Amino acid sequence: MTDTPSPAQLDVREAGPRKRSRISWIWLVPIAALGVILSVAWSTYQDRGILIEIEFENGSGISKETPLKYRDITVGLVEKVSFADNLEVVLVHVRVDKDIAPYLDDDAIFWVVRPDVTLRGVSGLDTVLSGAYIAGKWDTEADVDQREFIGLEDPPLLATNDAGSEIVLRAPTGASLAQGAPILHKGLQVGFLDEPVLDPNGNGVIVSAFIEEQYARLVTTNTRFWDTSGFSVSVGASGLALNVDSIASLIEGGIAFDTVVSGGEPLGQGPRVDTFDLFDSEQAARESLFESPDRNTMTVGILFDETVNGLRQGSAVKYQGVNVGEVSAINAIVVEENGNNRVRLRTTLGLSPSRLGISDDTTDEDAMQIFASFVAQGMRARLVTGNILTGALEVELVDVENADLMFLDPLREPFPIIPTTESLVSDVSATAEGVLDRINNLPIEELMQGAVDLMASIEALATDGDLKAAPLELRTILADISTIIASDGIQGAPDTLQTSLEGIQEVVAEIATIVASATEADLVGTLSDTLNTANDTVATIGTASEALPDIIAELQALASKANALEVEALLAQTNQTLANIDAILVDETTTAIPATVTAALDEIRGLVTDVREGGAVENLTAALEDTSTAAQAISESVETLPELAARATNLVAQLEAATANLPQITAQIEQLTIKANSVEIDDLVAQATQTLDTIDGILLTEGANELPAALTGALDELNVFLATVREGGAVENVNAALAAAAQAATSIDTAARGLPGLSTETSRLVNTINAVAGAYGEQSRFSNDTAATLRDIQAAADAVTSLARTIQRNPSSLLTGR
Amino acid sequence: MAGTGHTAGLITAREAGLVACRRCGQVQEQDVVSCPRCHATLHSRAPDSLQKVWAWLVAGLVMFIPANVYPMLITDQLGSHSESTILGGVVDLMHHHAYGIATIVFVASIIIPVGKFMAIAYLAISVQRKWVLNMHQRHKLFDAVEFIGRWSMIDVFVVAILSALVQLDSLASINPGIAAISFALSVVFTMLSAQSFDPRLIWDADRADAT
Repeated sequence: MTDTPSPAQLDVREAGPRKRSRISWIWLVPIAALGVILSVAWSTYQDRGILIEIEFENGSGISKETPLKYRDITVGLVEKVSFADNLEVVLVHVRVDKDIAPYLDDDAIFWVVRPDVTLRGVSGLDTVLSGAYIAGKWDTEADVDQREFIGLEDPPLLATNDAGSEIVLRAPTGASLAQGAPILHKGLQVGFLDEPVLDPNGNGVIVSAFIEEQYARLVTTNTRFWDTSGFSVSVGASGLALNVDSIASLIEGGIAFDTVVSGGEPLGQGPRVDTFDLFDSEQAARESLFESPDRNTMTVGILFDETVNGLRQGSAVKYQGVNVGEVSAINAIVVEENGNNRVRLRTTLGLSPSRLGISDDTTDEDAMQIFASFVAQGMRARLVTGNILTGALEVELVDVENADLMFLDPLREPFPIIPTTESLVSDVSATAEGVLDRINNLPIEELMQGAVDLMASIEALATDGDLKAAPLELRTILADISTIIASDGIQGAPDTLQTSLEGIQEVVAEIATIVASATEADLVGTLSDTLNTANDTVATIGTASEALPDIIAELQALASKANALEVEALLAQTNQTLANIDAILVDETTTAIPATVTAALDEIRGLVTDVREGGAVENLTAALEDTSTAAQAISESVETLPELAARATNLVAQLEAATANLPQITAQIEQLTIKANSVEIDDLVAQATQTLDTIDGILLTEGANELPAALTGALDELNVFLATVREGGAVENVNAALAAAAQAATSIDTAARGLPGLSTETSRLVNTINAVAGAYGEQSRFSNDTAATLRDIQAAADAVTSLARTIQRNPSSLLTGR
Repeated sequence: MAGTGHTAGLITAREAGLVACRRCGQVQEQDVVSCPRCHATLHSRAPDSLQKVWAWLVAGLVMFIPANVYPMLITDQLGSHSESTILGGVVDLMHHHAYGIATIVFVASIIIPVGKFMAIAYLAISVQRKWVLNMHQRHKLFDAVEFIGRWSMIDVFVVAILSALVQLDSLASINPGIAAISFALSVVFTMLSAQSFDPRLIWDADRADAT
């Protein structure tokens, strides 16, 4: 065992003292682990979201872990879905990210996004696989925190949080509007519609619309929107055109807009959402450009009595040719009139106050009040023909002058009624035919010929020598009249009268002497016989004198006859009558009267002488009585002399009247001229022609042509008459008569100086003769009338000259009526 | 004998003044510090063995909490996002009537880790209290814990494989959650805890009891 292997060198150390109580470093490991875990837990707790609660009608598609998305980014998860206490709603508890939660305030809205397939495309396709999710929308301002919300059943219009402008459109019907329908501008979609809803009155539809932000500036307050849904077919000169905007708008509807007039305010300036009217067509939209878009129309009604066939919904309402509204409805209503119910047709108008001149600022009530004042001033509604070919009617508002006062009750329900006036509906065919007929029947040729003839006649008249001679003739007449007045006969009349009076005075004085002597002579008995004889004589004189009234009556008849005669005839007859009077006055019978008286007086004188010589005084008293009677008879006969003078006066007056006819003729000429002047061509043209023809005829008649000549002739005759008067006429006849009376008086003076009563009667005669002379003294009036007549003739001549000149200068005025 | 733990007539290496190298099995005298053959440090008993066991065990337990609270898998499938914890996954599987898979997942992810915690704690306590009963069973238990420890990572492997395979962008993707890391750490700590345990301590109680 010598080679026993020795053990290897061993590393042998004394074991150190055991430190049993030593804590190993290994405990750091669990401590570190714990620390890490705690930190993780803490951070998890810190990052934990905030629980919110959303109410939904139903929880379709919502379950635990359903995400809540904002701008398509998940910002929370549904933690629990439960019911509310009364099972009415579903409560969805969502754990929302901590940094999002502060933004959830009262403007936050939530809805469930599910797959949606529409004509414009498919939305929410991702939810087909991933399931529905809750989408939320809220603004970017953290206001008051809120933890409980009510979810929407349908996605809101601006679901995608697009920036843009919201507007409100007002349409009469929502038939062509659908939610999501596009808003097009020049064919490109720039927005879309929300769901249409009825307006609060039920009169129309309002729909919110969204315009994308980059296009919002295209919309101003002057923008007009119109409906482009469906398609339109238009037939024009270029043929048939079919307009379809887009397939989507064809089926789903769509609206377009345009801003033609600049100057509108951009959107969003006012406190409320901008509101626009939606028009049926682009044309209607463009026609409304001058109207404020967000202006309510004024609704009024009309009860027409006549048929409204041809009037339809949408027919225009015009005021003086300007479109101020349209017919919005025509329907039958029951109206109570006088206790009876009647069916009336009520036409409802929608009027635009701004087109009636009522300011946009006016409230609806005030606008209606102003409109009521229009009606009180005479505004009425009537039917007029809008299109004569189709017979379509329109309503026209007219201001009727002197209309019966009627009022419009602004508060009448459902709306006020405008009073109506007579309609102006014309039948096309009748009117057109009538117009053509009338044009066809216009006698243009005759009219022209008549005008030419008229001018020729007027020219002939104006250049007629006789007409030119008329003033000269008149002057001659006046000179003659002047001569008459200045003639010796007239001038000598007072002297003659004086002589006559003196003669009569002498006669009276002599009569007085005779009476005195008779009384003294006491020859009454003789005188009685003598007076008896004288009585017979006087009776004879009375008989002779009785013939005078007959003559006077005849004169009167003649005068009235002359009065009734034409001028020429009158003048001639008057002339003749005067000649007759002249003849009568120079008649022997008349002239013989004084002679007879003279003879009788001579006899009386002889008798008186006999009495004086014979002394039959006892009979004197009776004789005187008889003489008195005889004197009275003479007086009576003499009394007729004033009547004669009166007749003569009358005759002169009739002469005056005859002369006065001249102004009438002149006046008639004047009237004729005026009538010719005032003929209006607007009256029937045929009548104008006829008038011209008549004028022409009048002017062409011999009477008219001879008028100057006739005037001249008449004046000539008047001249002659006056000359006759002057030469052997009435004045000298009267003078002669007075001279004869003077002779008679002288004879009576010689024969019966003792009859004083006679002088009184003679005095009356003289007074009457004085009156006759006075009548002639009114020559100034006669000359005035003559001067007036002359002036009238001058005026007539001037008028005719003016007319002639006018027509000569402007022949067409006959046609145009100027 | 086995029931009482007393092993009469046997002496231990320590009693014989020897120490065995745990690496190569070379027996040396007790005072030798390192193995002359493999140069491993020689200890008659592993130093601070129980402290290490407890420390690792506590760390494993701590990590086991988030492993069950936090999601293991984060699945994004066509926009739908789901996170599932271990127990949640088991419940889901059961709702889908996949009882077998549910059982496997439940056993591998819940039963085995919890059993390991309990086993290690039992061994450590028994050594500290110098229990003499069932020494052989305890040693077998220790062997079982050591053996099964490596298979505890199945869950983590599944998550790792799924995460690697299912990355189809938006269509579907699976990512590990916090729980996966926690669970892996928990398993690692538990294995370290089991490794720190010196099974010779089990038998020391018998010798001490004998002396």
